[in-house]
Amino acid sequence: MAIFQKAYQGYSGPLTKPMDRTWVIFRYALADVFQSRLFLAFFAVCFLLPILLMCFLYLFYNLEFLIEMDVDLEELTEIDGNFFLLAMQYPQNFMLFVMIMAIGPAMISPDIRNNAMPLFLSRPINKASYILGKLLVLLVLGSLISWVPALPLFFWQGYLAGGGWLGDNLHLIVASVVTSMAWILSLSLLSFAVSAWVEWKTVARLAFFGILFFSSIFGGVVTEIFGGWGGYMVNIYAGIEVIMRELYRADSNLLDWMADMQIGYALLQFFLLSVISLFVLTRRIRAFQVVS
Amino acid sequence: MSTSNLPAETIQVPQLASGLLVWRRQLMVIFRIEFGKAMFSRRAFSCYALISMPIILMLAVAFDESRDGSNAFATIESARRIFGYIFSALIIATVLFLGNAAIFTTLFRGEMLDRSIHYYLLTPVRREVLVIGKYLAGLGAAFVLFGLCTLICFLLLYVPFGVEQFITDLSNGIVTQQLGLYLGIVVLGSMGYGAVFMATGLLFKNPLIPIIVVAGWEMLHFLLPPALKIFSIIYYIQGLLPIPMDQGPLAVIAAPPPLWISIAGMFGLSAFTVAISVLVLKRLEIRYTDE
Repeated sequence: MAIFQKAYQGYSGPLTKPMDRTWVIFRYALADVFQSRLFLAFFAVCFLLPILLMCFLYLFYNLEFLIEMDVDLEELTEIDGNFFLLAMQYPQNFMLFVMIMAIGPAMISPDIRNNAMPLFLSRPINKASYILGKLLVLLVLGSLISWVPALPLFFWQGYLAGGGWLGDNLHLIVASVVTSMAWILSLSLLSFAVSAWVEWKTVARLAFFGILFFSSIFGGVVTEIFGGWGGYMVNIYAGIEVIMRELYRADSNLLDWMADMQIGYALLQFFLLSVISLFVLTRRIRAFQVVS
Repeated sequence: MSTSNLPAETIQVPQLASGLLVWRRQLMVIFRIEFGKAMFSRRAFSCYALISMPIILMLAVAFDESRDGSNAFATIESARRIFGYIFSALIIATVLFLGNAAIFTTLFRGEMLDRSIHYYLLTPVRREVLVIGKYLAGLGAAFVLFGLCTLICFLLLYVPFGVEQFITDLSNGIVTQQLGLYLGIVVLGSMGYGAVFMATGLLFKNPLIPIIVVAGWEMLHFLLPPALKIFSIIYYIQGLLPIPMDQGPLAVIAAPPPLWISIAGMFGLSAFTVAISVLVLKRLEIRYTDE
């Protein structure tokens, strides 16, 4: 039979589960990320913080060590939400920012630049699977360096402190998970949106940094001129600080600067940022591309 | 009659002008191409987005009216102070910084990413001419974009006070003096940041890290001791502000440099980094597979 007489027939065989196809995207994206030795080194360094904090907590409750070091027991600070906010969550947020800035803007742009999107979407993979597969890389890696190591840290502290410390501070677990996930999810979607619209990885990273840098200063200037919380709505750092302060039940005067905004608005800010980023992202992920 | 039968002396040898004339013509051509790219290409979108922000903010302040009918610009002095704050915190610290980073890092790095730098390298153009042409084009585009942003924002300052106040200030020389200083700061800032970012774009494959380092250094300059402040660009341009800004309780106070030192400093920095860029470009062998 001549080839032109062969009409197209859709595949009618068995299909894998939709989530299985998402995991394929995830697996390949993860392999791409770990091709960089520099990233691997950075990822390993991120685990030093919980290890150091575990050692610190061990020494903190080691009376012999404290006496030997001539530490005044009266002056020892209390291990509570303030401590975990300053010593754990702040550095983790910074590491998450660096990680997402390093890999997020480089995840979508090569596929669009090399006209690979039709190849992905002509298979039984839809936009949602594609985005979720890529997003899972950042969610998994981000979780591994933020709230996942925080959990054993809380349990370790609870074990060392005793006296129902863990029961009294269960909100810290929620605080760590919610803060980290809000930060990872919103920054990841923003980095994907930038990556989808900017052709080159380097430029996309620069644009991602520029958006966050500019929005924080712009928000500060708006607040300074108009007052109120309106300026904080464009300042993502203000939003995450409000969420951390509320969930960790930290002192308002813990830092020299704290945004005066309700947590509801901060959560709304992250929700809006994620929705806008997702909208911008889906506009660029199409099953057809104009090849110039 | 075929051309092979023509006597040899009738064939016109192209007239080659002397070195300076050729260089000037090449410089003008490079300037025109690069200026067009910096102003009207897709990459310029980020700069337009950046300069629109202070303008939107000034529009909001100028047309803002609270319930009692008062404006954030209560008096002309407070309006000038607010503009000074917006100029210092927003236009210098972010628009000028990020805008120059976007314009100048792409002068060479952008060409490498687009795989088009070899067109320049294959032309009989001296590398010095290429670097100076690109730098001047970037500087011209930066001045047009950020100068226009400053000018529009400055004019919006007079919206609540009307044309009369503007004419009074113009005849008193306040407008010319302050606007001249603000535009001068834009030129000097673009010269300094532009030179640094052009060299950064040539020296580093990923210019993001040096840009973050420079941003951190410039943001923390108020904490630096006077001996280190001289290594930040913001130190030279902030001293020229017509309305000095409070740098906060933690700031290490240092006397601002005289005007001639600020100007000479930026010219010196530009000359130095342009020279470095020329040296780097002279040794440049482009391999796109490495990019």
